[in-house]
Amino acid sequence: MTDSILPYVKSGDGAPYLAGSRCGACGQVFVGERSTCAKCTARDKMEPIHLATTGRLYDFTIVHRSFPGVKTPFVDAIVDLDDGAHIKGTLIGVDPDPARIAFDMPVRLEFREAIPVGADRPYLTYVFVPAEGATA
Amino acid sequence: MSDVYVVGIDMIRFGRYPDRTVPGLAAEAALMALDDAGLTIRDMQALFCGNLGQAAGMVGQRMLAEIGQTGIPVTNVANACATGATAFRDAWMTIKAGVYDTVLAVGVEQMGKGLLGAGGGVSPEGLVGSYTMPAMFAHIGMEHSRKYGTTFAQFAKVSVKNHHHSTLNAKSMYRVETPLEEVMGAEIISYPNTKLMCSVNVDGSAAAVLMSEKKVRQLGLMDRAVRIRGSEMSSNLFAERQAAMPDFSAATRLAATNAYEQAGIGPGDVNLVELHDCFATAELVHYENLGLCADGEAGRLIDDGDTALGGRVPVNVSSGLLSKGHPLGATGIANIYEIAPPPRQGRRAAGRRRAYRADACRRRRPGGRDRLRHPRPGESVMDDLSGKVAVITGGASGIGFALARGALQRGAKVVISDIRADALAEAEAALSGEDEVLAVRADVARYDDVAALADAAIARFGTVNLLVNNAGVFAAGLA
Ligand SMILES: [Zn+2]
Repeated sequence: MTDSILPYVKSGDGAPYLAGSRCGACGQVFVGERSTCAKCTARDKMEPIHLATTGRLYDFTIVHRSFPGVKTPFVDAIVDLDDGAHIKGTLIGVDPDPARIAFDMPVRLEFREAIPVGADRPYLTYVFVPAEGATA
Repeated sequence: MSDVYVVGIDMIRFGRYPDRTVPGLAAEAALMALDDAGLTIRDMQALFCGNLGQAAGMVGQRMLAEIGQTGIPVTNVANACATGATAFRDAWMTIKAGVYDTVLAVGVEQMGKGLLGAGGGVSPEGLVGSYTMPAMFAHIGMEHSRKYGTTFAQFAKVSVKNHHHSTLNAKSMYRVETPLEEVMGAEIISYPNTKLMCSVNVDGSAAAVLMSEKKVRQLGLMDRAVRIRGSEMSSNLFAERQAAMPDFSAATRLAATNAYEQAGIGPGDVNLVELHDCFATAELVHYENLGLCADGEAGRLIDDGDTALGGRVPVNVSSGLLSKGHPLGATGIANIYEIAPPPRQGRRAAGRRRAYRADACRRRRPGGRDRLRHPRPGESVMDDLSGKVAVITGGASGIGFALARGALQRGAKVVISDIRADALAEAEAALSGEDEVLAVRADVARYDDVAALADAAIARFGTVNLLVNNAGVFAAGLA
């Protein structure tokens, strides 16, 4: 089985998903599994969820200089998922040009396998792509 | 609780010292700070040593092995970019608590090459966004753009300003002007930060001697002691997106609010700011975090020159991390060095900045809100030129020289230019007062010379208030 690039990326037996947690006390949604709420400090109120697969682009930067071996440029995106989670990811399918990327553009989560820097085999990872109706 | 004072502080000029050791660099700054205070390591009751790269390496104890093992307690501090500031604050707290009267705080770092944030092994870098420091700090700038429409050029102006300030600071790693086009045209590291908008990766060390009020009085050091009116530290309050993009504002706002309260002042009372400009985007966002302007107005603040030397509230007159350099563990104490400089050290740049600061304080005294004092009846506007900067062309002899002498006597800082280099040197010597006089050779018939004269005047004194265009230009001279 392919390893995942980060612990919250789950293979789901062929139906990959991002693992999240929702606080039963305050409703905050977090990326990844956890037991205590950083917002309201409630303990043992977290319920595990599958994070939403659609959202909007909150913020981005275009990375031109990265660690050795990492292909640049790429778009580092902060996405507000439709379930309230906030997550970092790489946005593909757009020109890496600030004039061509719009805040709040709708994006969609996709899973794929890729070889990360420092590895010699593929890992399960995810990307964001512009969703239909996206404006650039 | 006792008031706490800085009685000695210094920093080495940051740079690349691959052949030195971390404790060795720390020792150099420690001895400089002790010399500045006129004390020895035997006078120190405790040491707080900040360092990140060798956090498990007992740097403080190894430093004492180089400068004197007196058996004092040593606490090694690691706290990311706040490492040096935390060592300083910990020293302050032990004196506040009444445990010690005299404590040494040292910050030191020997940096590797390359981007901060790199780790070993398999990395999600590139596949799942970026984990470099430039990318993280690019986000806070882009978020500001999203909220307020802040532009690439406005962020870039921070570097233009701080690089300009570097021409005044002999301890800056880099000391070059960078025009806006050059900053914006430099290699983009992580948009909107270009290479010239990232802090300089250097080695360095800085140290401070802190003392209780009782001890300061006992040793008769009050004339040189700088009182610490407040120190606060925070961690982040919960913020919606911090797991996806680190929030560098919430903790800063909380610490600033508490520090103002502790000091009993507000942001409007501040005349001079040294802040952590690890990236140009960070400085702009911190204007609002520190309350120097309302939210959304940071772009206007940099556009209006309010934070430049000579502006309403100069920021990073030292030239900041952007020019001076950012050796992680040393940075916090080096920033304090700029605010509480050693009075006995007569470096010209420090002297200039102190003179400027005094001038800024005068301008902002209660009741002195107007920058320009209006002349009383019967008084000439030219009677008092204190704090003014006068440029006098053809100033090496004759009427020009007399005007320069007169302006100096009325308290002005004077820039004289002349086409004759030898006469100019004589005039400069005759006018004495090296901190108030700048001599620049210039041919006023040559555009480049005049531009260079203006640049030199502003680089040295921050502004020009008065121009006496005394140099004669004859038709023959233009041929
Ligand atoms: Zn909660």
